[in-house]
Amino acid sequence: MKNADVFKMVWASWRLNKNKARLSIAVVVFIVFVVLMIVTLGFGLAEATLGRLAQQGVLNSIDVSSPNPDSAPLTDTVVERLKLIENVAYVAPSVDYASIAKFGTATTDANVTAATGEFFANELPVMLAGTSTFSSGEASEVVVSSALVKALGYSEPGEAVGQTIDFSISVPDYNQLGGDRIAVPELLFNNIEKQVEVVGVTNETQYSLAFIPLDILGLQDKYYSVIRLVTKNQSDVARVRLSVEELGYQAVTYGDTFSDAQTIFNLARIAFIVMGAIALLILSIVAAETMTISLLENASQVAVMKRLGMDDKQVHRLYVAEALSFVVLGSAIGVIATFAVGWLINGVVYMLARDQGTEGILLFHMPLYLAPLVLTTTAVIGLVAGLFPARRAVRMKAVTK
Amino acid sequence: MSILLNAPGSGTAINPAMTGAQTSPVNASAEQPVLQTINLTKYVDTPTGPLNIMNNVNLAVRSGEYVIIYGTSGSGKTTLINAIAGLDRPSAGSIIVGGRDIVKMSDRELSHYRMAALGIVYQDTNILDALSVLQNVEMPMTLAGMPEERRRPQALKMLEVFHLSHMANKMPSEISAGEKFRVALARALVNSPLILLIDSMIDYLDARTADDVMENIRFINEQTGLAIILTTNNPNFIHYPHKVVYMSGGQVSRVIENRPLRHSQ
Repeated sequence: MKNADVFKMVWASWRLNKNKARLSIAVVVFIVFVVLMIVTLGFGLAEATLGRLAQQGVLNSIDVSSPNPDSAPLTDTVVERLKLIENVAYVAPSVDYASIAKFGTATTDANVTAATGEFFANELPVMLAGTSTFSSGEASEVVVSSALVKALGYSEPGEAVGQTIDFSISVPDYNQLGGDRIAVPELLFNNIEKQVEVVGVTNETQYSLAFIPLDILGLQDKYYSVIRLVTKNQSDVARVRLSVEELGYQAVTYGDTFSDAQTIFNLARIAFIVMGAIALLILSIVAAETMTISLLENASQVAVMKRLGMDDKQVHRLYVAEALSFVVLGSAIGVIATFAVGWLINGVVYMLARDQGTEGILLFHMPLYLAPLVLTTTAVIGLVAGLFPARRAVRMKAVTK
Repeated sequence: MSILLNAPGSGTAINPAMTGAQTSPVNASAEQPVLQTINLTKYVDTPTGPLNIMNNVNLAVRSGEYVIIYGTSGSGKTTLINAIAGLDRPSAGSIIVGGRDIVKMSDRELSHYRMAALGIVYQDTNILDALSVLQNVEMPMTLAGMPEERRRPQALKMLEVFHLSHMANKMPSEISAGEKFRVALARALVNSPLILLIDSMIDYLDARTADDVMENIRFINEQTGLAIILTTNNPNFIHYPHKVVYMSGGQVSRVIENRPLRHSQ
């Protein structure tokens, strides 16, 4: 008997017992759907956090600081030395200053971070309006927090984009101190006045922060607060970090911060695998049970087929094919249903998030390999689940009386 | 209800080479019996010990011979038919079909033997409910792995012979009991078998339909020269075949050779 004929007989059997076939397939769809929704939610949440961080290179970052800024300040010389470390993609220094921001009659204190564009590329600000990048390294532009925007009298973050803010930035005058950075009396500060255009507003609502390109300050001597190193690959982070520490500097990686999160996600993945395994076990029991019931209901039909000359191998193939068909069809529908429902929920969540002024996330994420993996796994389950009833069908007598 | 087949010359008639279907695993010649049972015996286990339900049955059926096995319920007719069909293995004895002892065949060989050498019609559960009339008639050829484009014309031709062409696509639930029997006959003959086995089929039909069926069977025998073995407990039909084998208590009590009476409508 040809394979096509085997599947035609399976189809004919389903057509005869429509309700039973629908119910069997529905059970498979339900199990696969529930398992996949949980798994894709897990993938979605992991992707929304770790995945995005990894994608934007945050996990490749190392923030270098000096354990003793007075005796070993972070200067351009240090920047050059750090650039020489193997597998360092780029080095981005930054420095924090106190400032007073003015817009019209409104004034407020603000912390200004002056840095190169590369530093901000890895800062990952969540933007409420505008952009997080400067048009150039020397552009008189600023990215501000929404707390600063509010303090300056804007009701909506978007209103601030394109507006000009005056900053009076207090920069220590190290020349007057004779290079001594131990104590910086207030009198020895230079105020640098800068008029900058707002290009973006971040979602920081607590602190008044401003980010500006370092070069617009025109500083001769730079003493950086933090130097950010970005490695070529995430796997290089440990080695580069060691090299930094060997130079006598402190190194903090984002990986440190996120390692706990990674552990949690790894545990969650294990939980998903266990849940999936249990669900698939249930699926195989359901499949075997359904096939056995089907077999008992159709005992007389099996007898007729045997009388007509259907041999044991053909009987076996027929029952395995039936189990395989309904499990694979059910799981295919389950995969499509998961994809459709996940896509719908993602769309709604994304729209709601945008309406609330926050960045939307994709709650459900189905990696490309998941659908074929599920179909292959369920096909194996279908085959295995069909073996028991198939063996039973083979043993059935062709004479019923 | 008339279920008479086409009379000779009135259209499509049954032709043994019509289907040209399978190469039989057994060979038959006109001189030798197409079927011979030798000391066929069957015991079944019961709570009180082994029970002999068939005892030393010796039977020979020649090619083209029409045999009725007559006996009351429990006489061993169906046991004999099941043994000849290779569905139930005897405890002792041989069943020689076309020179081969089917008792010694493996299960797989027996399946092939049933598919290629036998046409079987049982009184119940003959039709596969999930398949259409056409698909039912195609089934022996489907099992043999014949492609659809080859088996379909043969099945349609066989349906035409049995006046069933118009219900080719109907499901078994949509046809009458008499039509189901015709479908079963069409299916039994589609592979050009050596022997047609019909078990108790007519015993459950009303007199008129049973007469029609018996006419059909006689016609098939005359047209095809097919060896036919039919079991019944109805004494009204024992005039149809060439030979009547009387069974009682699992044994052949007597054999009467007769010429079939011409039964005109």
